[in-house]
Amino acid sequence: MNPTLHHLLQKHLPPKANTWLEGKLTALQTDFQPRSFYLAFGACPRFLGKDPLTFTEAELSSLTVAYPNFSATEWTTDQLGRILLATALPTETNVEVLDTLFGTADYRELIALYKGLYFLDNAPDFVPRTREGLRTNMTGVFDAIALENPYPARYLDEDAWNHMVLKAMFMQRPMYRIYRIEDRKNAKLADIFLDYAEERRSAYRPVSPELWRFIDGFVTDRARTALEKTRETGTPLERRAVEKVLAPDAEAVSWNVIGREVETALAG
Amino acid sequence: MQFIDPHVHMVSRTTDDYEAMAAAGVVALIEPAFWLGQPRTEVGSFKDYFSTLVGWERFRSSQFGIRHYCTMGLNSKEANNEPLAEAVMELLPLYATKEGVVAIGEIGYDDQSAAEDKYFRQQIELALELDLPILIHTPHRDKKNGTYRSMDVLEEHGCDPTKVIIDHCNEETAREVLDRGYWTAFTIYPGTKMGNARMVDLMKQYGPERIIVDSSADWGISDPLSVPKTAALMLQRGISEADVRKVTYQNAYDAYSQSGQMDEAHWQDAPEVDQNQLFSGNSVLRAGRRTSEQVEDADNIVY
Ligand SMILES: [Zn+2]
Repeated sequence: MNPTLHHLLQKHLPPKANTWLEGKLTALQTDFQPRSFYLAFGACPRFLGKDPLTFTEAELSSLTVAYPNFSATEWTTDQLGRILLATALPTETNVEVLDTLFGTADYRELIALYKGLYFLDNAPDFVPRTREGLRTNMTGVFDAIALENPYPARYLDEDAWNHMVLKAMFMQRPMYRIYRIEDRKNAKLADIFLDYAEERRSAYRPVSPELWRFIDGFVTDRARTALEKTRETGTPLERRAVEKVLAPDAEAVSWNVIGREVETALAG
Repeated sequence: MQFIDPHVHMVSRTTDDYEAMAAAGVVALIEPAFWLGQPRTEVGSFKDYFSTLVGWERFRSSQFGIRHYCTMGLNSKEANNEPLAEAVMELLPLYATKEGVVAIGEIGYDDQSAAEDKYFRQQIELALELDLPILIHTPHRDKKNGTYRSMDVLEEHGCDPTKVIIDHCNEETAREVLDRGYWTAFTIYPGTKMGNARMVDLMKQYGPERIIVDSSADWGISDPLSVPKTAALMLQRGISEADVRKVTYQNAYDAYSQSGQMDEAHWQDAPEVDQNQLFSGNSVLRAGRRTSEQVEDADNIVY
């Protein structure tokens, strides 16, 4: 069981909820039965509520090792309760037990499970599950894996990472919210995005200004042609984005600022 | 007006239907677990279907601003495949407690066989154990006897009729179902069930108490706008707006919110339906309807 998470929940849950959760945790640890784990996991919203939690600065910093970027998303009581229960599973069998749960989970359960994988002691064992999760078309589930979650950056290999990033672009997700997006840029990904930009251009369809972030630092001749064309014909925001790539030394806004502007425009 | 369609099988419907329902005022719907027009032969097919009801379909619906709920159950037709039925019964407790599951259903009789009876009773017990409402599917053939028998069995198990919805009622069965205290639901499904002119006559006869109107739209020739269309006809034929609201919204809400899983706040102040999710690219609204003008232009599509 993850001690930091356990401690945090004990401090934030009301007494009745705490008692319920402690009872379930003790039962899991004394006599582990998949069935009782599934029932407890399912019942978390009923007994722990679904309210978002607010943490102190000190609490958040206590979590930076266990879960980098924890403070970037909202966490609810049922979500953290479910994750804590998952961390209480024996690691010898947790892949199998959780696979069954993933296979029957509802929308909210899926989000909790994917957000929580990083907390598991054998987190690397869940790479195939994460890749399966990324095949979803449910935006909330995709976001739970791809956005702000430290799991992909740490555990996905380059091909899996690139697939995730590309799919995020297709789903019009806010790219700047992918954790460590900058560190894991690579030449192959830049190439894929150039192909994508060309395909969109042939279809007279726009590309997100955030796309050029992935070309930044990988400016080949082919890239330069695409960038210059966009500088001539793009929207004002696209032009600012490609200028940033073409003149890296000039003063410009950060990619995150551009990303936020794209997001605001999409939501508008 | 706002409507609830408390019986509609959206897995068989298109996004056009969702759009039309939202435009017509449907704010919430309930999708009962049923059969798919062709019998399933593997328990895995049930598992994936149940997962669709609590996951994908719920999400798909939310993209159109309609709140999606469902019921869980083994339908009577497929209860006749006993080895399969046993496996499905093991699966049910796992799904019956999921978020948005408002009842056990639709269960009851088809041929009124022994196997149907066995799993009907087991599922009544499951509903009692989980304190969930029950949705009863009454049979097409031998309807009157099948309906009465369903109520007899429910009463034998000690069910509270105010927690049971008897669906697909007609002129022949309505009186008895109402008298015995059940929620009495009518399916407006032109052809095999009830037309909406008949429904107006029934309303005039019985009034609005404990009466529920639904579409049961599915993979057959049916109409996902049955509920709003019936409401319109009722108003046109002089039934009061308050009474129309009862049978097309309030009664269904009162019956199914007894599950604790359905709350008006979900659609009245729905913070979870965020625009970002509504118009995401690679999901249901594929190229993003919001930018359709742009896309039309660019693709030179002529309409
Ligand atoms: Zn049905």
